[in-house]
Parts: sequence; C-alpha cells; structure tokens
Amino acid sequence: MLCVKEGDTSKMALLFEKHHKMLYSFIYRSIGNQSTSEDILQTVFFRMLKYKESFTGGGEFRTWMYHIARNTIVDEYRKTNKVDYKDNILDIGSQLEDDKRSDFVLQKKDEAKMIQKALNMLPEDHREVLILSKYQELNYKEIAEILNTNENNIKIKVHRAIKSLKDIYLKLEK
Amino acid sequence: MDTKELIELKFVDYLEGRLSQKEALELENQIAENQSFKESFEDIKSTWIALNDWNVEGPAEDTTTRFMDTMSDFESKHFQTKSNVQNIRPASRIRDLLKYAAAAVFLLTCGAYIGRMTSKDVKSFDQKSEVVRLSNEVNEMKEMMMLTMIQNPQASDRIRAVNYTKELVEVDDKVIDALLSTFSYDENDNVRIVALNALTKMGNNSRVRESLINAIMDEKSALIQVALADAMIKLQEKKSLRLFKEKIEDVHLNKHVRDKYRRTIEKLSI
Repeated sequence: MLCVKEGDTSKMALLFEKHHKMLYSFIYRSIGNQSTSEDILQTVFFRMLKYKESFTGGGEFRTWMYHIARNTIVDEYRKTNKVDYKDNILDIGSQLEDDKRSDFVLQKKDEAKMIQKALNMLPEDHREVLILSKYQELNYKEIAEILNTNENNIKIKVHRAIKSLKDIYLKLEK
Repeated sequence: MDTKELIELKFVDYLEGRLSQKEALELENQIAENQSFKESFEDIKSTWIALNDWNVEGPAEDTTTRFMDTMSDFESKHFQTKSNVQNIRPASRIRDLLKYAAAAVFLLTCGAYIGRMTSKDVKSFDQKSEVVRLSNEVNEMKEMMMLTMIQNPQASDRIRAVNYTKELVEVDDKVIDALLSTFSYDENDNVRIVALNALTKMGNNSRVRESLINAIMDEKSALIQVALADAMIKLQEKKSLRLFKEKIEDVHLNKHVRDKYRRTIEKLSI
C-alpha cells in the first residue's frame, strides 16, 4: 500500500487480488445481497486509491482496509437498506438441492438458514464483532483498531454477542 | 462483571486456540469442576461451531476485470487532472492534442451529417452512397486515432486508444495487430488488461483466439494470468483446458492464480 501511496497505482491491483475475496465475504455477511456486495467491494478499493494519503503505514493494512469497508457499507447501503440474507439462503438451497435424500444435508441446510436468521436478528454492533472475529480471522487487537475501541471491550462484546445469538437461535428452533 | 463471566470470556479464546497450554488446562479444570460452567461452555461451543455452517461463495468471476476497468478510468482522470494542473506540455504533446482535436471535429461534423442524412427519407442513390462513404471515412479516422494514441507514452492515452476500438464498426488486421502487441508487450498491466478485454470481444476471430490461448503458457504477471482465465471462461475455450492443467503443476505459479485456474478448469469442464 505504501507503494500505491507513493504513486505506483498498479500495485493496487495486487492488493485487490490478494484481499478481495475476504473483503467480499465481510461485505456480504454484513449486508446480505450479492450484487450490492460486489458493487461495494469495488467502491472500497476505489476509495482506498482515492484516500491513499490517509494510510500512514503505522498500523496494519488490513485494519485500514476494514475501516474503509465499514464506512463504505454505512455510506452506500445501511442508510437506505436493511440487511437481507435472502439471496444467500436461496444459494444454499440450490447448492444442496442435489441430494435431497440425505437427512444430513437437509439438516445442514436448515442450520445454515437458522444461523443466518439469528445473526440477522442481533443488534448491529454484536453482529459486526462476530463477523469480524469468526469469519474475517481478525484478532481482538485488530478489531479494536477497526472499531476505535480497546481489546477488552471487543472481548466482552464477542462473548455477549455469542450468548445473545444462542438465545435467539433457541427461540427460532422452538 | 462477575467471576463467572470473567471465566466465560475465555471460552471463545479457548475454542480458537488462543490460550496458552497452561491457561487452557486451567480452564478445562474449571469447566470440569463446575456444572454451570460446563453448561455455558457447551452452549457457546455449539453456537460457535454452528457459525461454521454459513459459507459464502466468492464474488462473480469477472470481479477482478471489473476492478481493472475502474482503475483504468481512475488513472485516466488522474492523469488528465495532473496535466491540467501542471499546464506544461512538451511540444509533441501539444501537436498530438491538436491532431486529436482536429480529428474529433471531423468526426463530430461527419457524425452530424450522417445522422441528418439517415434521419430523413433518403431516396437518391447518390445520397446513400455518400452516407456509406462518409461512414467509412469516420471509421478510418477513428482507426487512425486509435493507432496513433496507442503508441503514446502515457498509459491513460493508451487505455483511451484501446477503448476507441469499441466504437469501430469494422476491425481490420492493423487494429488487431495493435491490440495483440499492446496486450503482449505493454509495460503497464492495466493497459494490457484493457487490451485483453477488447480482444476477448473479438473472440470470433481465430487469430485473436489462438493468440490468447498461446499467451496462457508464457504469461508471468499474476494479474494477467487471472484475466486470461476470465477471458477463456467468457470465450468458453475448451482448448485452454490442457494448458491450465499443465500450469497448475508449475511449482512457481502464484497460489491465487493456481486457485483461479482450478476454478476455471471446473467451469470449462462442464
């Protein structure tokens, strides 16, 4: 990224190739719509290019990238839209349609739907810390940097989020 | 925060393997000795594991190509702004700009004239011939501009030149040669990718197709390798299958590219 900052914008393409899949999964899990997630992904990298001067090189590139991604999601999507995982639930449905006879497959399909639904019902800040810690492979320190708080707060939030998720999951099961 | 919650806070770290051996052992003992801890640990563990069920597929295959296009547009605008700010251009650059301006005026005039002629009920044979002649001239002029601009030192100009091919009604060998040469030898990956996109749209041309297939084995840039894989999927070119299979055996191949090639092989094998 420092090369990009110094004017070698061709290196941006390498950063894109390296990080775009992970970042896409974060955006998708945050908003739940495939095509909008793809558009936001493009916007995030474009913003990185536009605001490259704000990358000081003092911290991790990943935290800076997620910081921009969060702001972009807020600006581009959350102001006017609600999270909707409908697309993905259908995706899972079609992925698993091949083997309807298998009880295991059907059970997995139901569980995947249920966990998405439960996550969707969590308060936004709880859902966000869970996504960042569980799926994005970020440690508490990195998440704390992204969310402008301290590690201990994140640790507590992750714990409370997982407990709330369990309660919601149990209610949905009944 | 009570003692119970302080202990529970360690559950996720334990499940993620973030605790030291000593801390993990201590926690295991605490869980084993206390039924309440045991129950809450099982709850958190089952929920944490249930989260694994939610897999997300990657974005569309052409995402990288789309990004490269956005990058090209950004760079074009960036370079334009820079040159406007500097307001100092070498004489050759000014000559080039005057040449483009003259060509643009010619194209606009011809375009307007052709538009007027075709919008009316053109009956006379002479008028129809005139429209055809002018259309051909416009095409030649665009081609000339494209071939001139593609040699410019500025990457943004070369990208614009490649994009000019979208406006050409007919593409002749000179244009194809220029695009193939740009794709093969341009120093800037963004320009090469834009050229590759333009060539992919000319996939019906057997020479273009063969050149793109041949490029798979020799290409060194990871970005172009990925873009080539996208191009082969778009063209549904089964001949490339053998080459991709050969390339994934190459120990020096970039990991991301290898993954991409594997997915490409799957898609082309359907």
